[in-house]
Amino acid sequence: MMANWDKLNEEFDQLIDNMSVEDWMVWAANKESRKAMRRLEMELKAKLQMEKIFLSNRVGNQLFDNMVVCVDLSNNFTIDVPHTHANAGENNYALAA
Amino acid sequence: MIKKLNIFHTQEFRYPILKFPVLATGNEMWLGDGYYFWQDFEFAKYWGIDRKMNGIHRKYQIFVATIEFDEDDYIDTVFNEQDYCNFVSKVEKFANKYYEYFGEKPTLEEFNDFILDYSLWNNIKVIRFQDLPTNNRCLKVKDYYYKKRIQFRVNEPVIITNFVAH
Repeated sequence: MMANWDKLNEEFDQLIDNMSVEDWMVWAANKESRKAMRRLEMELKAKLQMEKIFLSNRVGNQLFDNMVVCVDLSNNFTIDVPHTHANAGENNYALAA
Repeated sequence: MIKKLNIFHTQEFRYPILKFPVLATGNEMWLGDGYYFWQDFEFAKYWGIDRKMNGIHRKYQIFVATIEFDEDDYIDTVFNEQDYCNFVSKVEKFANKYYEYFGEKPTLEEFNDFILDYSLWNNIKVIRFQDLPTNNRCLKVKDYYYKKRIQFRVNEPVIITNFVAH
């Protein structure tokens, strides 16, 4: 699966092929103010996401702290609960460190 | 299909420690405003050494971020030929039109502004791209940049699902 280029191309071409000189001038004149609005929106989304990560890690820590390590003496092995913090083994990029 | 990656973010050391990547803004950002990450740790490290030692602590810090996204929401201009060719084609179509009306070449940031201003490609949340080759320290062969200097630009904070100091 990958980006749907039929859709992306159609969207892009339909717009750019029909823009007049005035459209280009209006776009150029207003892009900085639109960029400022987008930055604000991204910053707000980022704050929410940061809180979500913080809470998620906090809950994960609490669960970890509350988990019980079971010792099964009959077979002479322990059952360990895996650490739940950022798992750097999900792909090879972090292993390169 | 959901893709999950761990990638690196380098900043000046700050206290309190960052809990989220820093939004990169300004005209020097390749693809405009967004959250930028390195694919390879060594490039993240040398970015820190070369560019992030100017803060009051005179040291840098590397973070590991997890991003999770649908593959339909991703443009990979580095390893996917179709994504690369289509992306280049659109950038150049925009550049040609821009030149026609303004008499000069646009920046890649302006291309990105155009996409966002007209709410095009709304579902695209992350782009993988190749930065300029530099830094002989990462090479085992003299002066031949055989290793891609790969970055990710994320424009949707919601896909950053974890962020911890390395």
